[in-house]
Amino acid sequence: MSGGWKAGLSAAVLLVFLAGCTRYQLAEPRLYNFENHYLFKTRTAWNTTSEYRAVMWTKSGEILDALYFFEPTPNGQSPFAPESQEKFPPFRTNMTVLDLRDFLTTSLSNIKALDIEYQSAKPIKLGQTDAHRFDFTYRRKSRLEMRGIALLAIHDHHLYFVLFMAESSHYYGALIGEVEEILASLRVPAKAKS
Amino acid sequence: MLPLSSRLGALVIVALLAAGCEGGQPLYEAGLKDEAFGKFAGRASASDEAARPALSAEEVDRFIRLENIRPEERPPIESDEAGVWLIADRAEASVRREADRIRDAELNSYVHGNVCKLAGAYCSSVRSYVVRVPTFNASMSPNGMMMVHTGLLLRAGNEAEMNAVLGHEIGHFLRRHSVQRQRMIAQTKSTLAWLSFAVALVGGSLNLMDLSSTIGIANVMAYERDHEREADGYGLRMLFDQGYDPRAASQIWSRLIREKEKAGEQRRFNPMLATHPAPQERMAVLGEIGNALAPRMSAMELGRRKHLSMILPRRHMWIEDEIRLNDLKHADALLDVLIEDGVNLGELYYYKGEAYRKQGSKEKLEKALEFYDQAIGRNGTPDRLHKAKGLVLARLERNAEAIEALEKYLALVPEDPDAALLRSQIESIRKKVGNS
Repeated sequence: MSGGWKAGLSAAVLLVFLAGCTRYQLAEPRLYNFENHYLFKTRTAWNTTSEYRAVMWTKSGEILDALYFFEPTPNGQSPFAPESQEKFPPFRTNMTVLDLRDFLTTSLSNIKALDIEYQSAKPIKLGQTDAHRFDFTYRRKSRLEMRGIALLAIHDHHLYFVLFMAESSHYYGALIGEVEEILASLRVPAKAKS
Repeated sequence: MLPLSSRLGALVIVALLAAGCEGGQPLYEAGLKDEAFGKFAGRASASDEAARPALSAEEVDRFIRLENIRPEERPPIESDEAGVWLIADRAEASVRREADRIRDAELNSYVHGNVCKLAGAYCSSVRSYVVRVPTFNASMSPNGMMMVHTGLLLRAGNEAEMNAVLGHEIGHFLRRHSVQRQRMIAQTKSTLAWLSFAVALVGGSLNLMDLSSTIGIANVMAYERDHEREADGYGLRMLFDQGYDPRAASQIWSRLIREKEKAGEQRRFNPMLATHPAPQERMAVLGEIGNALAPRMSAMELGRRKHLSMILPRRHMWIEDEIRLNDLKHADALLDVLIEDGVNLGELYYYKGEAYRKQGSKEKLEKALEFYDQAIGRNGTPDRLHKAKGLVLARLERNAEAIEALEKYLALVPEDPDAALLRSQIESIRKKVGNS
């Protein structure tokens, strides 16, 4: 067996192993329809992966920026974790806008967000669906300052939830234009699957 | 492999052996009798000092296995202890930067003032950091970094109870427990390695090696529990030296036990793997020693007024942190114990309501309303109770009452940042009522 052939085989084996480590996939710029729960479009490519009940998009890695599209959450459950993980508060269909904000605060606190502060809360529309938008800031334990936007809609007895969070000094500003475009294009189809 | 019953039997023997190795009550008294600490501690009075028990020569041999660290001492760089300190120094640098470290100067000064009072000449060797963590805990690193959780400050009913825990942590530092533990682990590992080698040489089975390793773990854990007992004794000693009621050391454990019982946490004590003695043991032994010491003291205090003046203005934030853990049983039990203490009951019943409101089911919302009603008219009831009550009533579709509560709140706090949201909530309830 020649040395070159061995090196080639080693490289191939290494590539196979590395491919096993790949977590992210490429999300091309186009119109997206997530199982008829969310419709939106993007004009640039993102990295994407799935986590528990959400699809996560990121440009620079989820520590620095992350845009989550959560699966619709039924009454009594949390979008963040299974029922067995009781630290996350349950969503209830009769929540008022302020209850939704409390729900968001408690949920974020349990993913180690500290000093959460809201800059604004306003009613918006996701297509025909009424929703609420909360703009907020928080700190990570490392004192990294973060900014975020949460869109929450109670529709078809489920919680529709989109969350963007990014490091505030650079990454938030660098991405907010594009994220706002995505959010402006976001629709929750009138007849959603549950 | 040995049958299950034999293995269980072996484990029981190991547990008994490990339990038999523990120091028990005399270790709790070692701190009280420590003459070396006495050289550096400020004392309440000469007559009190005379009332303190003395350590016999036999006890010195049994319990003082390593000399106390001296004030401002840093271990020589070539020592194993210096390595432990360097790791702790690095951890401390990151604790200083972390966002959950509380930067409230007044609170830090209060806690550190107490640390200094208790530590005497060790004051400059111990640095305390209050961290916003909703658990009953404090910790001490070998280099003198003490972390004090807000969950401890919330639960301590007075300065004496808080200081029993701070004194316990100082005890870990001055008795150099981290390096003692490290040496014990190294010694145990070495012994086990030789034992395994010997077992293999004579063709012994792997089960025997497993058993020897189990004995090793049990032994290290028993050693750690002894350190906790010894540190508890130093906490008691520092209460005694500074004229605090020594019974407070037992009382804080009694509070914690009540809280756990109310929450339905009946965790069984594991005599082999527990890192700390059972709270019941600590409450009983510290109570016994405290009861014996108290009559011998010329004067003693609990420091309740000063403690409450520091804690009460901050208590709401720490209770909110506890509620955010989203464990209703836990929050309910904690609030019940605080209610037994009887300070600002309006605030505590409001938070009981909040803990139930967060759960959101119809039954829990109705229970929340009961607690809000219990809060009204009592001391410390926050105005935002009416906001929370209005939101609960809205969810229960008791629309007229919801509007009344929300309007009452807006009249009390017209500048609330949520005022616009609340007004739109009132409008949407009105629309709903109009449409129905």
